[in-house]
Amino acid sequence: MSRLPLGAAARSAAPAPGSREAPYSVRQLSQRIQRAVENAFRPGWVWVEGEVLQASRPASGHVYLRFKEGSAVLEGVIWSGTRRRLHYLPKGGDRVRAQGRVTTFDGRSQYRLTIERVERSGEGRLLQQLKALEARLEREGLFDPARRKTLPFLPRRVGLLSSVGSDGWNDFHRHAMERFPGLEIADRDTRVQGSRAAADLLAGIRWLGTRDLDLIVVARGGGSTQDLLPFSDERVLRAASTCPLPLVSAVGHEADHPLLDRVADYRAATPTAAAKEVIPDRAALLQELEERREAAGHAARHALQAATARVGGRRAHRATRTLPGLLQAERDARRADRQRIRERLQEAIDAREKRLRAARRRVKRRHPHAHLRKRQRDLAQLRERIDRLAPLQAAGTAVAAAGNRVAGAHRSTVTRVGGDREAFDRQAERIAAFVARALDRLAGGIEVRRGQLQDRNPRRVLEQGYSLALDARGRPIRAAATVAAGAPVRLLLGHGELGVRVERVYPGEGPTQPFGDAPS
Amino acid sequence: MSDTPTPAPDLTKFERTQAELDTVLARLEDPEAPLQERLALHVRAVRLQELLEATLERARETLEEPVAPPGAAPDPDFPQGAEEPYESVLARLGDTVREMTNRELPLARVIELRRTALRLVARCESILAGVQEELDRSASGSDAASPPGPPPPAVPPKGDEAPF
Repeated sequence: MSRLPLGAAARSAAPAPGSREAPYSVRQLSQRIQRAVENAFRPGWVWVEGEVLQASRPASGHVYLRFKEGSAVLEGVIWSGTRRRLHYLPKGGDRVRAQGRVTTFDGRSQYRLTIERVERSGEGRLLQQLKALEARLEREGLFDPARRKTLPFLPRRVGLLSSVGSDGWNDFHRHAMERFPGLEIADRDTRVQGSRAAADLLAGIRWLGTRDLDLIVVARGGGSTQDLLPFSDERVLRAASTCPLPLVSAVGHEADHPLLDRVADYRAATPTAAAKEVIPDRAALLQELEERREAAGHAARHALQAATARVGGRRAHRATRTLPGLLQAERDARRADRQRIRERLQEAIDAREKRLRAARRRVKRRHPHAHLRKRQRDLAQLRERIDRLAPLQAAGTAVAAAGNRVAGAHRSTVTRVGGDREAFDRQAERIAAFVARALDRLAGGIEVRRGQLQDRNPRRVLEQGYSLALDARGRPIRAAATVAAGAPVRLLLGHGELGVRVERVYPGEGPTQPFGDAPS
Repeated sequence: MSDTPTPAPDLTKFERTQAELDTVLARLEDPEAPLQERLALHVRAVRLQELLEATLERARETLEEPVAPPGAAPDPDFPQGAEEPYESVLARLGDTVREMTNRELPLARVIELRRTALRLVARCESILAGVQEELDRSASGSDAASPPGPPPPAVPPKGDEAPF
């Protein structure tokens, strides 16, 4: 046995996959990982138990879950098709048992559990902690409605604790400014999500609480239970409860309320709702003020008149020094009344005029001209049909006469449309009846002639057993002598025809026996 | 186009005429309506439309009609005669103008209310003129010899509010 030199052996061996010489492509490695993961959990279905940290339900209908235990995180997905079969859908804070298939998602270099079944196995640790905290703060009285401070009717300066530039921040600013332009809003930027958000919120509440403000709004757009955890942080809640200024919780949520809602002096469902409920509408306020001012003016005027009347005569002399202005105002008001009275009647007339204009358009649109034109077209079509039946001479003459009468009657009718409409209608009926009768007569004539033609049809004779012999040029063969032996002959029968050839000719004077044997 | 002349406009029949026009138009717009009926309906619709237009024109004319001054004849608008206090007249004026804003009112009723309202305004102005005259006399010191004028403004009824 010969031995190869060491170098030669090395050159002949293929490089190992994944080595420097034969690296995997990205796809190859992804596929190997996928096979390895899926093979590791054969037959493919595993159960896993854990706490749902976050559950999101986008419009696609799928449900995306994130389980967490310590630092370990597992992503899961319930496809929309599976979701429709499930009786229970997990939410953040639930502890669940889920059955699914571990798959890889090479688009993101991730693995996840594709869930087919899921059962609730109890409350998650997080939810338990929140409930315990809520119970403790309840006992301490932090949620006592008696502790709540009254919101100012007309806040001049509002402190907004939110993530500057976020949707919630934008919503509050936009709606607050729409309602009360010129309102001062003191922004305090804060994280509203993540591990450092609670510290930010705590600092923000404390800082705003020392400013010259009328109230504080803590705002954030919607979020899952996990996202909103900082708004249930005990330190934040205690700072909110001891804040010297009225505090509004404006935290949108999908499932559970953050505990800040219960500590705050006022809870709004969203930042937009907070702006609408806490900030008054300036235009509405001004209108109300104006109405009250007018009412007060009337009341004062009446009081003055009453005083004037009570004093009376000369003793009213001093009081009447104020009357000239009052009288002038009343005269002006009555002039304005005259104008109002005119406007009211004008409005009533205008409203009716508008409705009448619409009716006028409808009347115009429904003018009978269009229907008359349609009747004219119908008559013309009738005449054409009658003309098509011309081969029947006698009937054709009658039809022509009918056509002339129709045309004459029609012309007469059209010229009289503007006048005697009843006469027109009677004429129209007579024309229709006449045309109907003419058509009936035509149809009867056609039927009679069709019967006559049927009787004269040679096929009727052939159907009785006779046949008609035609020569090669299609002419009837009337005598045997006119045909030579071997000539082709067509025999027309009652049904179909035969192509035959003459074998022998028997010239004779009369016909052969019709039903006898052929002469030999 | 019509055979008979359009009747004279009657303000009290505006709504009835309008309702009839609506009915006629609805039938006219029915595609199944026979030609004979359609012709008659169209003639009727045109007549009704002309009548409504004439009635509205008549209503417009009333905008410029003068209103007889109060007291010129037995006046149903002023059952208390010249003794009715200014505030009472003013309150009735307010009620009248408010009623005019009701869009469901027949046209004739709106026109009637307009006449009433203008008479109430005239009555208010008359009272104010009387008070002015009284004031002028008081200012010139001739009040002792002055004949009795229109009544001074009376105490307004309790709870009286602005007319509008």
